[in-house]
Amino acid sequence: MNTNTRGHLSVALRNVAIGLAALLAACTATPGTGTGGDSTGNTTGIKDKSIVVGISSPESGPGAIAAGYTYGFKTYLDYRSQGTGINGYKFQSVIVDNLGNAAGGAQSMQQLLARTPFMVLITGSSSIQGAAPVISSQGNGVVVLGLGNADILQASGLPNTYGFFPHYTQECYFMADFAIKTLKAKSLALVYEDSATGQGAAITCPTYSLTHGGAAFKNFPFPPPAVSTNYTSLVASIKDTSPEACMFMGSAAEIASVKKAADAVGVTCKWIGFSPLFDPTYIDLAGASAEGTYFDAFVEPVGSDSDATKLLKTEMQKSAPTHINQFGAFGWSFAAVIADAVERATAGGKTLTRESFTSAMNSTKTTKQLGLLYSADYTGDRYTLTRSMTVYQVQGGKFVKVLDTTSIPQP
Amino acid sequence: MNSDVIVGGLLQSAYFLLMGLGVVLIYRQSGVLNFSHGAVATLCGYVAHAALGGGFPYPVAAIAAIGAGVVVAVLIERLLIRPLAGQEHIIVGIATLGPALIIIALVGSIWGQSPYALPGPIADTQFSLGPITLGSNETLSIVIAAALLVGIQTFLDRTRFGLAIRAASEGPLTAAMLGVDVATVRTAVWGLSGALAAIAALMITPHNVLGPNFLMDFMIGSFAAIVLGGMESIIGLAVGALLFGLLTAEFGYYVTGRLAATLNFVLIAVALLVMPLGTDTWHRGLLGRPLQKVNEPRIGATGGRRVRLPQLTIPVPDLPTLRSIPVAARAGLVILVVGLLLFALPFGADTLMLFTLASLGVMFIAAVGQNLVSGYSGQISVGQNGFITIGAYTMALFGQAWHIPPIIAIPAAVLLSASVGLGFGVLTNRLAGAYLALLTLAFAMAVPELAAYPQEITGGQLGMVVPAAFAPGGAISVLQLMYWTIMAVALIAGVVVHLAGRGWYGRRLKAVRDSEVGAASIGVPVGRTKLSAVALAGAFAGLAGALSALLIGFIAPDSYTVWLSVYLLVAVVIGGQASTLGTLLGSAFVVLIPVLASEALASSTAAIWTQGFFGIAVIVVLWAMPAGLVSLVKFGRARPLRLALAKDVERVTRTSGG
Repeated sequence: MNTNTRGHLSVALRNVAIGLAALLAACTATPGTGTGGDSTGNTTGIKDKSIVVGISSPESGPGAIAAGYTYGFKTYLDYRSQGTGINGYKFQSVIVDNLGNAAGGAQSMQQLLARTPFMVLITGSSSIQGAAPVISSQGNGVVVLGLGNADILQASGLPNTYGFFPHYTQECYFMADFAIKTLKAKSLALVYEDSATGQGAAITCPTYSLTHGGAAFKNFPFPPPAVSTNYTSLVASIKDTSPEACMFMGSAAEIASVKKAADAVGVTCKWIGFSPLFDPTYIDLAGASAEGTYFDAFVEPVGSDSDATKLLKTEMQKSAPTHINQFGAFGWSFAAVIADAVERATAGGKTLTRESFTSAMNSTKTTKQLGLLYSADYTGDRYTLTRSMTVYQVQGGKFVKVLDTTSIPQP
Repeated sequence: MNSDVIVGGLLQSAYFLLMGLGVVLIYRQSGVLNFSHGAVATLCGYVAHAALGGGFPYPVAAIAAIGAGVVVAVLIERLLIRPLAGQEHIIVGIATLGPALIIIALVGSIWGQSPYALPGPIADTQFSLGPITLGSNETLSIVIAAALLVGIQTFLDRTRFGLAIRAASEGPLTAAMLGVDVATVRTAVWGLSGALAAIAALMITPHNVLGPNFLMDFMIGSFAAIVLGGMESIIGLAVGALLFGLLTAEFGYYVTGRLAATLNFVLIAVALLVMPLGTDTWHRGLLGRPLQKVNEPRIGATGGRRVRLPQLTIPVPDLPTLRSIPVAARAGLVILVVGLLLFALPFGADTLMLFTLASLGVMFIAAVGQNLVSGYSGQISVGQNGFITIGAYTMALFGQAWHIPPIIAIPAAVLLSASVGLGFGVLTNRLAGAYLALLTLAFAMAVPELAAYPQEITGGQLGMVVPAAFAPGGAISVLQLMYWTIMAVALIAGVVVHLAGRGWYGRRLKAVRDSEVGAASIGVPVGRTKLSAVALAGAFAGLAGALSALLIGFIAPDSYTVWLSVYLLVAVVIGGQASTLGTLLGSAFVVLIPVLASEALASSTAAIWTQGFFGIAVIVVLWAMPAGLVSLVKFGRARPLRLALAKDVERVTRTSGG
């Protein structure tokens, strides 16, 4: 190696060393606490009475229809943050796309936790599952809200976690009871999307039905919509077994397509959809086929003319007009429960902490209307706020109540 | 036989045909697999929906939709495809992903994510033909699909313009010299494809729903019918659509509807094994005729008569300071510096940065495999997600069900993925180009479905929890340990592939990629070389799958869809093919752009644009740097003059049919 080469080498090494030192300095200078503001004690995620709410939302992919929950939720929080807010507290929402899957749930949760939120909302059962390990290891007591199957939320084992929808296994029992007792059906079919939506119910519902008055029960799974859109084989199989009642767990688009295909081949069962399907979108999509379909429900239909729905439509028209549907209404109603808990926790000028908030949430048991909810109850089971449901039927293109509020069977 | 099932199968065949026509037309004309076709159809459906909502009668809405399809497709051709003329088909194909993502984001932001019903062209009625009940709009769909099939085939075969299309497809330079306005022909074909996308939307959505993602997913599903029939033949497509539509319907009825994608893969694999199809015959499709696809030369705007000649490039000497350091020393220095940086990072970085970089590491490991199979050996595979799934599930099953530690589970995952890759490679060795891509696509769709099928073992679609590789507690977090593990593996994988790529193995792969005949003539075992690339790529993907399962702590089939493979291909193309540095840059692009976009959009209500921005970024990079991000680093280092000339001479020779 000649002198010139050694000189160049030393220059290069020196430059690399300087660069390395600079990068290391930059790395070590990076704060590890995110941008959430006050991170001391149990007021983490609140700064100047601004409550940071991280939202992991399916903004893209086949599950993006559920983004309606997010915008209903955010719109209600924004509505309550107007003026002086709730006892001086306001909400600041942060939304990150979770792609509607487990990997996206994990990545989005990493991003949200870096902002040190007070609470996080996760939409979609798969994303809840993906986010759970991240929250377990790095959540530091963050309050978790889940818009998905309560069974999945419960299985996650996360602390400080609150759900909205029923346990889908128990909801299947409710539908089966309705079919057997009210519709007098003896042979039942569960038609379900073979995903986190219906898989659990398909395991437990047959036994329940057969031990509670049902004479026959058969499962009819179908693949998620990204895989197949041809439901002829499915409905032909249903027709062969001639069930009297067909319980459906899937999306509004799926039930519309399945129902149309079923009508075309002459399936004669009475159809019952589970609560997330309770949406005017179904009536639009299925058209005449929707007539006569039953839906269990724990919220007021968004198409009704009450003050509560008028308020929802007025506020959502301002910021999320494409989400004025039942998905938006679910999110809106869940946010109303959250706001109610914040209001109770901060009554009389008390400081909002994670403890005071979770205490207020845990004591939630009310029949006053929150959003479009008929009632809310977190006592005993915080993974769902629903202990009872009612049933609507599509009659003349509208949802008409056909069953009074009835308790959801417990396992 | 159940008549309802047969009718349903026929209807589904018609829908596959309607969606496939535009895809095949573009492929036949330019050799490009157009990912944006389903998104263009989506936009057309929404235009019709908006027109109907505005009170316009159906015919006006249909014309508006078709017009929109033509305009958007032509815009894609003029603004995106034409500037990329002369680039490899894989680059142009990946570029079409950009407008697809932008359109989906645009549609979602304007009309929302809730699905709409789009009425059919005629009133919905039902009528009976013996034991068969038919719907009016469904019957019309079948009739229109058949009419389009006959019409397009006749148009291509019997008209002067059809002849021009065929001439421009088979030899653009020759066609240009014979007076064919190649540029106009291309634009016209894209316009026609846009019109077909609109017709597909108008016929398919009334039977289903109109949503931002529906037709894009349907297009991916229809690829199965396309590959069965043949990309270059309209009649072959029809036969493929008919076979696939009927067989999946019957299989769904008599066996299960939960294995539709698996059935598709098996059908294609069996067809390959039992049919006396060589690569050339398969290229024709079942009833088609062979076409030779060539990389498109740059055709000027004056009707294709002006051909830009290859420019002579003048090598620019490297900086003397770096040149004077021996290569091995430079490489060692770089590895040392990078290794030190990666080791030190967890002491300062927050968890988000660690997790994101660990994800980048996993993506890099998978992309390194993708680069081996696609970049180095030239086999366009979109099946890597299948191997990632195998790796992830092996990891999860070993850990959760049998309590086997990761130190054993990870090698097992790699071994299993490589073995499956070896078996798969035997099949793929018979294929090339888009057919290889589509067989791997079938594989990509089948594996997650198969993973979900035995739900008692794998948890089905509910997924499985993956036990952590490290026990929590102590000063060092599990994430930090995972980060170091992944980075160490990624660094080793990168170095190994980089060295292999520069050595005899890389030269073999590149020789096979550039000319299989030429490689064979100098003694390179072509089959074994390609097979080894597929197996190694499978091994790397399996390794990435195992590590990602440990990183996330949970696996479910919906995390391993075919889009994962597409994004891996994006990483390789965006970064720069056959380059380890390019793979790193491409992986960073695929992981970091969505994260940065979502961070930027987090406080707004525009999170729906996260993937849209990714699409914009894809277009911008490929516009500015068709050779990939690595060209930024290699700026100033011109390719050797002799090689440049040789490639251009080869291109001209192939173009003229020589």
